Order: sequence, then C-alpha cells, then structure tokens
Amino acid sequence: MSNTIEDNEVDLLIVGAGPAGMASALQARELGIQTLVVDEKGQPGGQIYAGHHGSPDFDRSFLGKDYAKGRSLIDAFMASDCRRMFKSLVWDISQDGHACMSDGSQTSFVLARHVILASGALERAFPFEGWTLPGVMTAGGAQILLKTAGIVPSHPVVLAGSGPLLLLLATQFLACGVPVSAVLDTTPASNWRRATPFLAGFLSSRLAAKGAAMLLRLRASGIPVLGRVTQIRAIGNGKIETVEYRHEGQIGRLQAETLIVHQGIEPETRLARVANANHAWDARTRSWLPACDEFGRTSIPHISVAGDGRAILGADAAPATGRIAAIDAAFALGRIDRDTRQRLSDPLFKELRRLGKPRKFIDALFSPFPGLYDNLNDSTLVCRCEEIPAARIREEARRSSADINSVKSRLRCGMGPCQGRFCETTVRELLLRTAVPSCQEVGQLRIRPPIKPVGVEEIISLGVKEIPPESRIPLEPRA
Amino acid sequence: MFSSLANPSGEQVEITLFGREVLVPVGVTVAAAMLLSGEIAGRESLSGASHGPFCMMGACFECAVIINGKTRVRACMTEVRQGMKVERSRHVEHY
Ligand SMILES: Cc1cc2nc3c(=O)[nH]c(=O)nc-3n(C[C@H](O)[C@H](O)[C@H](O)COP(=O)(O)OP(=O)(O)OC[C@H]3O[C@@H](n4cnc5c(N)ncnc54)[C@H](O)[C@@H]3O)c2cc1C
Ligand code: FES
Repeated sequence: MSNTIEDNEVDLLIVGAGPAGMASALQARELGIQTLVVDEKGQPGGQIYAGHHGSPDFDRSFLGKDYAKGRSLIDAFMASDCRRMFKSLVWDISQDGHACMSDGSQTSFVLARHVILASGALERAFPFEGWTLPGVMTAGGAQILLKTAGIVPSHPVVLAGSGPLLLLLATQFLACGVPVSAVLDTTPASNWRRATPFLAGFLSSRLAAKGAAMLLRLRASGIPVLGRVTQIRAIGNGKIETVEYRHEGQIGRLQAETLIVHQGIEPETRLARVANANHAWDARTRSWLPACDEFGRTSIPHISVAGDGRAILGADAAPATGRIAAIDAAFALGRIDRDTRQRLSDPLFKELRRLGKPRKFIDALFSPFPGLYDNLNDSTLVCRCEEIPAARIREEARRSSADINSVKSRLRCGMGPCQGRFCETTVRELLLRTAVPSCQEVGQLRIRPPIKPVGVEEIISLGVKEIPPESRIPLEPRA
Repeated sequence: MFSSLANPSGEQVEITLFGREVLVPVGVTVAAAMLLSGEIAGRESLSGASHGPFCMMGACFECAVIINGKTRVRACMTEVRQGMKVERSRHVEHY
C-alpha cells in the first residue's frame, strides 16, 4: 500500500474505492489489467461500507445486513493484487489520461491508458433558514460518524427532509439507543402523485420490503414521523437550539442540539467535468449526468464512469456498473474483443435492469420538488462558503444573465472551498425560477483543477511536470 | 453532546483541541474528536459566524481547522494523532 508510484504509468486508473470502484478493480484484475485504485479516504468501502476496516472497534451489527454485506467485497478487494492508494485526492484528469493526486502535502502523477471514475455521490443541498448553524448536519455525515467512529448524539435529535437515507438513519439511531424526538418528512404530496405510476415496479423489489420494515419499526417505537412538513427553520445563537416547522397548517417547535438534514443525493461529477466530458440534463432527477454509453464510456474515449457518479442507481447496482466499465476498459485497451465484452457484460446488464425497476419510483418520490426552492426566504444563505443569500441570486438573475458561470463570477457563489458542491443545485433552481431560462441556458458550473483546494505550494512545486496544456481540451461551453 | 459506542477502555490518544487537552479514541477523525469533546464549531465564517462539521465526507469544508500549524485542513478527513494540535480557523485562512 505504498503511496508512491514507481513507473508513473498504469493501464487502468480507478478513482474511488466504494462498491463501484472495488468491483471494477476486481473485474479488471480478473482480466489481467494492471490497475491502480485511488481514494481520498483512508479506508476502502466508499460511503455505504465506510468503517468496515476502521478503528475504533465497536459492534457494528446493528447497522444491518446491507452494511454487513460490504465486508466480503472489501476483503476481496484488499486481498487482490491491484495497487491501492488511500488518503490521495485525484484533483485533475486530462483528456489523455494524466491524473494528478495529492496526499495532502505532495502531488504525484500518473498516466493512465484508461480511467474509471467511480467517485460516488454527494448529499444534495437542503437550504433553509439557519442551516449553517453548528449542530445542523447531513444524514450522510451522521452516518459516517456512526459507521466509522461509533459516535452518536446523546441528546434528542430531530431528523428532517426526504429520502430513504433519512429513514435508514432513524432506524439505525433507534437500534443503538439514540433518542430521536421526531422525523419531519418534507416529501410533498405532489411527489407521491408523480411516483404512483411507478409503484408496481417498486412493490416487487426488495427495497419495498426494506422500506416498509423501516417505517414499521419507527412507528412501533413511538417516534413521531410527521409527513408533508414544510418551512423548516433552525433557530439558535451560535448553534442550533430550536427546530421550527409547519405541519398541517400549524407551526411546531422542537428543542434540539442536533438537526440531521437530508434531501437525497446527486452524482459527484467534478472529475468528469474537469476532463471536459459531455454532460446531459436528466429531467427525472433534475441533475446533469455524464453523457455515456451503456458501458459507462463518456465522450472522452479513455474515460468511463461507474456507480453513483454515473447516475444514482444505489449501492446494489454500483458493483455491476463498475464491473461493466472494467470489462469495457479491457476492450478499449485491446485485451478482449467486442464479442467477449458483450458476453461478459450481458449478465450484468440483466442484473442492472432488475435493480433499475424500483428506481423510477424512488427517483420520482424523492426528486427535488418545487417547494424546496419556491419558498426559500430571500435571506436564506444559498452559498455557505461565501455566505450569499437567495435574494442576491434572484436579483442577479433578473438584472443580468442567468448563466450559472456568470453568476458565479459576479457573486462568487461556487468559488469558495466547497467549489459549488453545496450551492450549485440551489443556484440553478433559483435561476430557473427567476429568469425562466432552460436548463441548457443556465448550464453547469465549469470546474477547473484542482477540483478541491490543494496547497498553492504544492501546485507551484509541480513545475514542468504539470499536465501539458495541449492535452487539455479548451474549455468551451458545452451543449 | 455526542457519545461513543466504542469500548471505553479502548486505546486513546491525547490531542490539544482549541487550547484544551482531550483524550479521544484512536482512529477517529479530528471532526469526530471535536464532536465527542463538545466542540461543534471550529471555524469562523466570512461574517464571523461559527460554522462546524456538516457533511463529514470532505466535501463542504465547513470543518476546516488549523492542524499542527497547517491551515485549511479538513477535520473530517484527518485522523487524530498523539500530540496533535488543533486550532480554530478564520475565513481568511481558507485561501
Ligand atoms: C453520505 C452518503 C451516505 C450514504 N449512505 C448510504 C446508505 O447507508 N445505504 C445505501 O444504500 N446507500 C447510501 N448512500 C448511497 C451510496 O453511497 C451509494 O449507492 C453507493 O455507496 C455508491 O457506491 P459508489 O462506489 O458509486 O460511490 P461511493 O461509495 O460514494 O464511493 C466513492 C468513493 O470515491 C472516492 N472519491 C471521490 N472523488 C474522489 C477523488 N477526486 N479522489 C479520490 N477519491 C475520490 C470517495 O472518497 C469514495 O470513497 C449514501 C450516499 C452518500 C453520499
Ligand atoms: S464536514 Fe464537510 S468537509 Fe469536513
């Protein structure tokens, strides 16, 4: 597990050691491809299987079967003879396969003949008044804390938002004795109506049984689960003290030191964007997805996408998309012929079709709904880093253009350290509502390297080894 | 407050967190150590507001602190080490 690469060249670079990246690596090694897997985290597992290899030690059995299942994949991955680099952030990828990665103090390079981006998902921003107060945390964040460190709130917590992860976390909290005062479900009736036509596909899946079991467990515990909640507010001085919400026409208030929020997840596509791969607007999930073929190959022939970074397909589908991308990489590298690619991929495509059935229902039910943005107070901070309120974005859209990149350069939202990860979706939705342009007109934030802040000293010390400019496609607005 | 499900007699390390010595379990991140020690904010925003760990997955930079003199380090992506010195950061130190 050395953090240096001797020869600086590799057949296949996989970014991300979540289920997609790990399965991809196993498949690639089965096909004899020299493989390097890089992950920013210190351990394999990605989001869903975080903490399996971690310390401190505690009984993780209450996390459930779906979590336990990750163990065998992680063990196989760690036993395989691919190269692994942890605690390394891939911060740039050029169109010809040069990748820069930083271990926090030094950047190294690798030239990869093929790249699979398995960079997973991000929590979708859920802006409301007071969401920047300390004590407000994402559900994913609370889960990482729970899985990796066994650290949980010891005071009553409130969970608010929409999405399966919120319910899952509530049941996990329940199982390990965390006091939950209430679950405030913001899923609106309109999403239920949109989802109903896809109900049949969902009901026949394993997920339906799992969801029903979670709801039953919550109900049985007596934890109030309030539906169709709106107008969440976090109130407090220097930290959250009270959660306010509207339910059935009434304003309710709950004391809370911790408010866990969640509003679904969206693909992390920054590396695909920095490499200048084409993206396409997906109306169903209201997000830009890397444009790719069925194997996950993007518009750049050496770059593929897999797992939740390709489209949100969930943890069970991630390994299948990872394996498919690796099989296709073997084809791209000339190791297998077209027929073999098809033969090896067919069972995986079949599995994906099966796993995709309940997705339509889930996507419709938990898609970002209009009320999230329509009712955003002018004073609510949209950009957490630069503290830009909704009013400034609305004003900018009315006064000048609604192109997200011009708004970024004028208001600086998207220029802070998170580089738009927690404001891009909100800014886009506000622009769409204020100036009524199309998603194409609003566009996508242009991502420049490094995709996460890297020390200036580190970049300067790169000197001549930096990615040659000729290998980078000129940055032009994409279709 | 936050508490730990791990065995209380498990191995621990001592770090200096915002000027105070605290004992935390081996292997946890600085952000986890903060929460366990009752520190839910570690940085001051542009306007001077307190901000603290939010995403825990290295994406939001709300947990940025100064570690052993190095600025803009994400507490949620950094594992605690014996003797580590963690200080609060101000917005200007982000850049
Ligand atoms: C916070 C969070 C919590 C979730 N919890 C659950 C859950 O409990 N149950 C469930 O079914 N689903 C959960 N999901 C959805 C779940 O993550 C996915 O379905 C599944 O993990 C996707 O696998 P993946 O391999 O595509 O991505 P991930 O598991 O997210 O793995 C991506 C990996 O890529 C790494 N990475 C990304 N970019 C870079 C880079 N530039 N350089 C280096 N490394 C990089 C990340 O560190 C990460 O380890 C969660 C999602 C999120 C965002
Ligand atoms: S809490 Fe978001 S980056 Fe650390």
